[in-house]
Amino acid sequence: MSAQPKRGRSPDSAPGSAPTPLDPEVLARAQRRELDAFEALYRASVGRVLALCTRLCGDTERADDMVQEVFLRLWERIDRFEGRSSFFTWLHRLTVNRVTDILRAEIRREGRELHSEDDAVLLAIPMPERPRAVEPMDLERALSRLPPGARVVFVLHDVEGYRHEEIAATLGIAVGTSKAQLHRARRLLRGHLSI
Amino acid sequence: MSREDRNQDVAHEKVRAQLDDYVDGTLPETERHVVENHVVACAGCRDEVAALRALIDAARALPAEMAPREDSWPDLEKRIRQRPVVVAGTQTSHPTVPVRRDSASWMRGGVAAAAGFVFVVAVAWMATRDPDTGRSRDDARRADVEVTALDAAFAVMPAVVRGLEIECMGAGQILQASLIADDVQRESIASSMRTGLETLDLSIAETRAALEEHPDDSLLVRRLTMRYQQKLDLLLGAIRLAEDV
Repeated sequence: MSAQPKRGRSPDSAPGSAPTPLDPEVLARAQRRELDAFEALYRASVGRVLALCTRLCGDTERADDMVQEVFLRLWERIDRFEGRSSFFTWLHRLTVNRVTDILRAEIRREGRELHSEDDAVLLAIPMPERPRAVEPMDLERALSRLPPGARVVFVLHDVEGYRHEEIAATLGIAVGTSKAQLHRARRLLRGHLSI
Repeated sequence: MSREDRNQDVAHEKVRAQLDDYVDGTLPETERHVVENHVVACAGCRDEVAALRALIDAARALPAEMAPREDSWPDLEKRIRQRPVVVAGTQTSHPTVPVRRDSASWMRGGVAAAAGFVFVVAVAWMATRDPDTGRSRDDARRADVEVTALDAAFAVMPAVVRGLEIECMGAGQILQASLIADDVQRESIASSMRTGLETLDLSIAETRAALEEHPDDSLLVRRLTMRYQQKLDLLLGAIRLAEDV
């Protein structure tokens, strides 16, 4: 699937970070597999890739491994970048594909067990009447406590702005499953965050 | 509980189940009006909507970057250098490492230009020496075979093919380290070599893709062996030319 996020933030204009200009010459040299140029590319983009990997997999150590996998894949495929989108948009998509490739088995297994007892307990937790503001660190921590499928769908939909159809195609699940996972994730997060 | 109360409960639960779609703006027009009317009148659903919006706003405001806990480039660089993979398509994954001029003093200007000429001739000859697999370059590019799948196909190939590939990689790295990027003549040689390697790598990729479909085809295995032998010959010949200087 080549679709990009339709709403939400763009990989080039995300909150909390000014887009880093990418020197076209560096990119061209990296595409010729010049290692010093590839290192420059790595240093310009590792923060974005790490953020996405961390949120998708919910585990900082595992995220470090995934970052390596993403950049190894980038090394193999960088010559395929044709400049139709920005490089960061392309890398964002490559990251999502690589991480979800790794997580897909867990996500699909979890999709078959959506109505677990844990969820039933959590759904019974009363929500406070007046929602409070959500601190970013609290949300990051709460994200790491979600089951993989719910977490990946929430990150792609609510953080990265993907549509359910795109998520379903990326993960190989039904659109209805994506919606159910999002509902579940939001419910679980509200429980963790007490909002 | 009266019948009216029961109906209200049913309506309330139905609306609650639609609140995710409501805050996402994906409800059809008519259903959106029903939910809106209910939310206006129902304090519980209003709180739900407010909580969902607070959560979504917080999610969208998360920073796009995280600072790595440590510099993992050295590990990544090591893995890249060790990566013995020929990517489907036209290029190898070997890194091109800029080498300082004085580290390759055996290769000097005029002779380097002569070597470049020999390269071009050798490449042209090798590219036409044997019949191709019959598949077009576009077909090969479209094949776009996953590296893991290639490795699986490779597992059934004779050890001699694998050995040749590894030798090619080693020879390629030795030669590439000798070609200095900021020297125009050597860059010309490097460019000629890349052209030759691309031609051979394309043929190798095509043959490997064909082998994936027909893993028992001994002709394809022989062709692959030949291509690797040609690649190795090209690389070793280039190294010998350089060492003769």
